[in-house]
Amino acid sequence: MALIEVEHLTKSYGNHLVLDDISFAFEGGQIIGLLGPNGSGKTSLIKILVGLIKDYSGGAYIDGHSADPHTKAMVAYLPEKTYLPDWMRCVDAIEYFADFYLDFDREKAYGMLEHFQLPPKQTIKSMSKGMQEKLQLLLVMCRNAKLYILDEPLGGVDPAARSFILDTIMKNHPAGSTILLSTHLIYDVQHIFDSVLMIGQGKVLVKARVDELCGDGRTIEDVFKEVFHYAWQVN
Amino acid sequence: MLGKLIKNEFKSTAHSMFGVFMAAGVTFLVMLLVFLFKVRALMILSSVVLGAIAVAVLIITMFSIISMFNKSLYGAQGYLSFTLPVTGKQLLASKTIVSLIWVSISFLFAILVSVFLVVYWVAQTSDNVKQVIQTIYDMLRSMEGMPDPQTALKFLIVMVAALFIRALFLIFKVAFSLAIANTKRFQKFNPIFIAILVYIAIFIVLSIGNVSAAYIPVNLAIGSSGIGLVLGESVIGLPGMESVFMQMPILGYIFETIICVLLYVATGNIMTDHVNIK
Repeated sequence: MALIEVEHLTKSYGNHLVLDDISFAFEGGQIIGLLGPNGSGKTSLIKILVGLIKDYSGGAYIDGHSADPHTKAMVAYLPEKTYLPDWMRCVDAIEYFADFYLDFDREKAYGMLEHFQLPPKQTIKSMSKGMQEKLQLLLVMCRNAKLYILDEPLGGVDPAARSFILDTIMKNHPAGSTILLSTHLIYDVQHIFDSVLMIGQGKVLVKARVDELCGDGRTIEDVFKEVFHYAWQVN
Repeated sequence: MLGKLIKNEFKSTAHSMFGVFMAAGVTFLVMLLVFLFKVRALMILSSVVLGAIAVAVLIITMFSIISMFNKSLYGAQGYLSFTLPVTGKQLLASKTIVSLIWVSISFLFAILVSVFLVVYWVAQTSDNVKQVIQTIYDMLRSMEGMPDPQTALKFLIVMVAALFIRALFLIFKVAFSLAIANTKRFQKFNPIFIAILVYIAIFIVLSIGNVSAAYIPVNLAIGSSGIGLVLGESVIGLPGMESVFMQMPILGYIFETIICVLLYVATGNIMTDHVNIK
């Protein structure tokens, strides 16, 4: 059974069709790049998978389930937004995650807190956006999850921070786990992907394994430019 | 999981309530010093401040409850709440239980402050506080139809239960209104504005039900010989009752209990299947 399966999924905002009857499936144990330009529906697709958007038609399944407590227990989700309550301190956030997620590694979290140079007793309210994002990344990567869904983790950060984030992701995800990482910044991350899914104009434009896609010496970035240049032309 | 949700919800709301209870504690302390050192000039001021804090506690409790449902579910924190491995009904139940706890604490606090202020003023103006309190108690005991303490306690329990139902009714109306405001159909508008409109609509519809229930005279009565049911003119379960001290219409509360169950199920389903987090 596929770990991620989407069947005839359609989602619109008013008259604007974001996902138009898309279907695909991915086996577990790989790093999947969810690629597309801004506004191509990547975040909507992710929010449907994790259960934050409920008004869609078709099916979106993880481990054979629509978003429910079973899928939420196995998915570690990093949204674009900072979502921790203002009053929390780093230690509170760690205890919160340890409370709800059985796969959360508390010891690792305290170790990473030190490594990330985040003051344990500092409140979220008094942290910079960068610190908050670091803390959220830490919380997500300290779970031994079956599936990591990371929505634009590299968006809006400088190249040094990008490399730090990628490094953290690659070092901390357990062997055999799956990562679905959405981004429009291909160059920095293309080397980590096993498979890619390119979406645009509401459709799946490319779904392939990287070794098949880049067999002729092209990079993912080359394919991306080719595909989306074409997609914009038809639009 | 429900226990964990309640624990964390309580921690979260305690932060907004902490300041006002701290202020109350400081005022209590000031009043005690005023009493000990007989600083009469500060007596009125500190009493007014404490009374104002008691009112502030009730207001802040209401705002905290609304914020607990709105901000932590449908704001950015919704990304955390709705991706926890729990059901929508568990989220709703935890917030409802914590809201009820805070409403109870706030009301208890307001009652305690009132009693404290009475005793404080009696102590300031009279040398024998015990005697004044005994006089008030005797006055109450001599009122017509006043029940024995055991019956009065039973009635008090019924009254507390009625207050719980009313608080629950209010909480579910708020939760339902906010859930409706965050569904696809209404999301393009301002959610708070829509929630207020939905709340007013529910209030009007349910008030009609409540008013209709009030026309059916089923009352719980307390009298000198115990508690009983009053149906129209006939008293049931109070043989030989000489006089009724107090009556409480109960059909409205039964109606509200039924609506509470319906609102809980409906809100839980909306949260699970229809709410979108922006």
